[in-house]
Amino acid sequence: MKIYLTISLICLTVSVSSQQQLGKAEREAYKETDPARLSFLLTKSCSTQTEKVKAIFYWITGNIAYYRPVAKNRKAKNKTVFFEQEELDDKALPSLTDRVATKVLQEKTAVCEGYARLFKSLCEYAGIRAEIITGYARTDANKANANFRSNHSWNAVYIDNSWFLLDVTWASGYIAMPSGDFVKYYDSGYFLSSPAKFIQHHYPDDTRWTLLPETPVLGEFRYMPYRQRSYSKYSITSYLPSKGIIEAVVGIPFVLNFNWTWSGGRLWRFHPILYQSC
Amino acid sequence: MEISPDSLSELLVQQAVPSYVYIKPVAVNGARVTYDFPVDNEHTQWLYVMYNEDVLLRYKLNIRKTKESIAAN
Repeated sequence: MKIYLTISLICLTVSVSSQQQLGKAEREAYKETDPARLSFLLTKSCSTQTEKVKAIFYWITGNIAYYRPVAKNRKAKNKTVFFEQEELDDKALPSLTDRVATKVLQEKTAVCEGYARLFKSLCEYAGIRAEIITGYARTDANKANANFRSNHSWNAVYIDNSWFLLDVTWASGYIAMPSGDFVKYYDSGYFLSSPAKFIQHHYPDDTRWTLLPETPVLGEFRYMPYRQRSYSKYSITSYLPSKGIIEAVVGIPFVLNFNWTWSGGRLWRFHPILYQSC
Repeated sequence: MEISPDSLSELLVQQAVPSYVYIKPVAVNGARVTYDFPVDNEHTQWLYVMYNEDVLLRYKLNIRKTKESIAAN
């Protein structure tokens, strides 16, 4: 009986001690705002690339909340950012991805681009190649097909000589309706998903990032062409054809029509280039 | 070789599909500009409208052959 109690006590002590250590490591990681140091903390005990990517992915989903702007604070926030940008010294500027990653780690909130940049930054410090993918995310809210445009960011990561897709933003939770509050909810379905599954809700601007042999035609094309991210930079007031699928016949040209203006009301001096691919 | 429209484009991939088409407008009416897009083969599947090396719009093309072009082949 005495031996049993002693063994139990030792086990309990070891368990409590390791939990305390784990808690200490988690707190240390949570406080860290330098992407390089955080990447090291998260991956130092991982032996494979997959383990490292999983550790980074899981940490972000558990510690970064989706940013929900409060309208009245938005102006003040922009001013702060502007002021900080003015304070640059002559040191080499970190990459945009690292700057965004640091900001996200300081604030513990982000929108999709912040999530994706943080993921890329942490992966690269762990020696793993990652890319930020921009494109269209299909949600229930825009199933009406009126919003077929680039509206989201996610990642591709290179593990053991292959690219894989993941979405750390969607894996971290969801926006509850009608409150609009972010609800933290880990969803492993967005971690290294198969390309065939991923394309059902993630359509990239650069179609090579579908990682599929053929670029699929989304149903949304029946209603409108796909508006890439740069579309919003130019004040195109209308375009024809208005549908995204053009039926054409060899030898018969078809008509494209654009209203090209910009905010100053001037006509663009140059004309667009058309690019065709098979 | 054209300058790639985005940072992710790889030159090798673009070399495999070198299909930029420069066309002049057939009509300019104020801010409204009209183009005729020539359809010379049935293999083209996608059409990208670009400006300043930015891709703006992506169309899906469904091109079919005429009876004459089928007969010629």
